[in-house]
Amino acid sequence: MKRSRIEGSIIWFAALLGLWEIVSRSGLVSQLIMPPVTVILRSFAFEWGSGELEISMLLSLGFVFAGISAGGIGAFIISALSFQFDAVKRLSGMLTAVLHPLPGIALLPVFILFFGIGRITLLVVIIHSVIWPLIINISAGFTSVPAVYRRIGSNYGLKSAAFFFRIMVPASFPHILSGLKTAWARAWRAAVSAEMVFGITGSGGGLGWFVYNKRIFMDTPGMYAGILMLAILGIIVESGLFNLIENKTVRRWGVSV
Amino acid sequence: MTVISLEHIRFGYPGFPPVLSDVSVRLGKDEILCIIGPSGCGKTSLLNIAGGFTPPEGGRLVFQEMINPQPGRKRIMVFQDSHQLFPWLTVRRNVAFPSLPGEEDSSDRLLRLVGLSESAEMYPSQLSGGMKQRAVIARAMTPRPEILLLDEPFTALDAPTRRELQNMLLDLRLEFSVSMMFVTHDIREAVYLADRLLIMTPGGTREMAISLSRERDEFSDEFVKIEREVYKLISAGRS
Repeated sequence: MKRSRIEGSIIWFAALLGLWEIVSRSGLVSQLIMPPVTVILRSFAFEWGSGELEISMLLSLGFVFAGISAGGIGAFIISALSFQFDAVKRLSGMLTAVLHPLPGIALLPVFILFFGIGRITLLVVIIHSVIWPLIINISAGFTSVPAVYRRIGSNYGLKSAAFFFRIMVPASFPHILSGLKTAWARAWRAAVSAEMVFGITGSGGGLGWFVYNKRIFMDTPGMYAGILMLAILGIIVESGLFNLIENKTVRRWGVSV
Repeated sequence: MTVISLEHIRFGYPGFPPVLSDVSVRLGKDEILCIIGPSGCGKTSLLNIAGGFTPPEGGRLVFQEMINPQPGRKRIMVFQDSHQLFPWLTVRRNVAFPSLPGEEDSSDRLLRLVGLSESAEMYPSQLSGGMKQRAVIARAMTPRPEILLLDEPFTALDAPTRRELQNMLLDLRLEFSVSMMFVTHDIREAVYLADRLLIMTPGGTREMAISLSRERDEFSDEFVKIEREVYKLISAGRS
């Protein structure tokens, strides 16, 4: 079933690429706007070989993982405090309601005013993008822990820290994982968008900057190569990494959100 | 020798008639006390008070010379909930969960005693209802409690599995010298397991010693006679 689904996706993907190649070669659309797939793939190989694509990819990934880590730690601490103290719960609820719907890119001018153009601003944009969905999911996880687990914990004499890490965290894991998936998607989009605005250091940057830069110089095969790289990374993380984690955890445990 | 005593316990919910009014009961060493009665008569409330999970409104709980102690590792409760095992841990790690450092080896012995050695690496979602309850009871025995408090642990199981688990409890009592308070609404189960019954009805509580030998045949005349007597006492207490 799963295999036939994958085969179906590959066939559709190949058909779309074939159609792209035909349209491009037919002259219906300028090759400057829509270069043939074969040319894009050659450009991809060239950029990869030159090292520019890998460096851009690693820069973007590094910032995304740093942002998710920092946002994750912050979200975890805030969710834990919210679970313990009503005042913190009310404050984090209010902040989440106000800030969660705001796209990071909309706050970029504010962040630039505070931190200037550079790495810190990019990191802050990513942290803003991930921290609110993570707080929502982790808090939902904590409140959904069955009451009987708390009673079992107190029966076995678990003190607060042991109880928290041995029961609360694993029992909330399906929600935490769901939050991480949302956080990844939002962080990735935020990073690429912010990079397109100013790169990472002002003079160069990650994949967003790579794509934007290629467009400026009308290197459209290179631009599409960058977009292809973004798509490949998205598939690897969402269908590969998260799928692997789900298989090793929640699916094996027979639980779901 | 008394291991736990509940003295003149009173308990209720605001705006409702009291659930427990002046209930006193003691549990002897190695004894199995079955608490039986119709739904709503306060069986689970009494067990929660014995476990330290609910403070009584009046009266006192005495355990290890402490008055109304908090829940602890020497009084383990098996709750009336089919999802007591942690789904993220294998059976072996669930059973070892309450182990203190250096005690992990004892979980292998417990797994053997409850017949789950072969399933030790499975996750709870892969177990049958009976296997789950075996694992729950093995985990409850890990801290070597003096008292096991069981709240209708076998209600959802089929009759042969119930009997297997009842026999397993009797074996564990002998092996570990543990006293048990066992709440049930099944008269046959109560008569099969108990050394003594606490019959709770809206009309009051009554204790009854079970004079049968340990090898009990539920189809014997004596067994059926006691069953009938208990039934009559419960029915009389309700009216």
